[in-house]
Amino acid sequence: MTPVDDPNIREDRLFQQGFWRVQRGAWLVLTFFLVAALVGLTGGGWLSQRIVGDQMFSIRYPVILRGKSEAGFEVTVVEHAGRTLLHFDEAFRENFAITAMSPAPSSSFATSWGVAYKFDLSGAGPATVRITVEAAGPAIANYSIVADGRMALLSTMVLP
Amino acid sequence: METVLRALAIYFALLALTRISGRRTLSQITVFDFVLVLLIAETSQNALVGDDGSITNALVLVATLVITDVFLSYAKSHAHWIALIIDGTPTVLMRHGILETAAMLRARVSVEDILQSARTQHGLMRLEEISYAVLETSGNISIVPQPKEQ
Repeated sequence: MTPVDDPNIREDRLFQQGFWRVQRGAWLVLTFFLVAALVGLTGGGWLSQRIVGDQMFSIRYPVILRGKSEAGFEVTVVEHAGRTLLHFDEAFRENFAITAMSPAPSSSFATSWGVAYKFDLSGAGPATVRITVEAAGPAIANYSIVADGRMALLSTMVLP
Repeated sequence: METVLRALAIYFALLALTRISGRRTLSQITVFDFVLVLLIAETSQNALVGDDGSITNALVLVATLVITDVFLSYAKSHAHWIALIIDGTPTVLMRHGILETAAMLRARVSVEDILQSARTQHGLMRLEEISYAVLETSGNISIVPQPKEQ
């Protein structure tokens, strides 16, 4: 066997050292992404929902949502006279498709502002209407929901 | 249009992720690596295909992936920097019989990995019998034995 003095290895150590630094940086970014996903910043977790409202009503809604995935809205009215009226604006309809409502609305009608749903509620005390929606696509959706005349301005980031 | 963009996005994202995961995941594949590859393939399938399960969509996807691959192989042969970014560069792990421990640590290659390659390629049993160990761009570890005494 012939002695090996120069195996003519075309090593670019300078590039490799730079790449290792980039690689470690990328691992750090992926770790942050993983942590963000764990706390719900990529949708479907702890920080992906928020509650707005006052003492009379509240809306739990998704602030971060993935496109083509389903999410829930919960509208709770504290005082009601056996029924409640929820009004969704056009921006809501453009960004979300309602796939289910519980309880089912007793009636619905279109308005110049959007669409309204009337719900019959039984018993005294707080009642909750659950609405399941599917996001249309990537967007930062700014929309409004009016519950018995009280308006909530909401914003949801829909991820690709 | 959307199918082509989707295929390109997934292709380059997976390419980048595979590159930054390090070369060891391609070579010396363990059971864990094999499971990882299977899961990545299964996970990316939905993102690649989307809601369209038609034959046309599948053909557009395959055509996009094949043409991108061919284009990249041409680009690599014409521009050295593209080859460097996509394939990387060989890394010397052992030079003139001396281990380059910093490079081994960075490349996540152990002495046992080098010895395993030495046994497989040349039937060598000891580190002293190795002159050069090189982590190739393919992920394999090449072993050059010490010259034999006359």
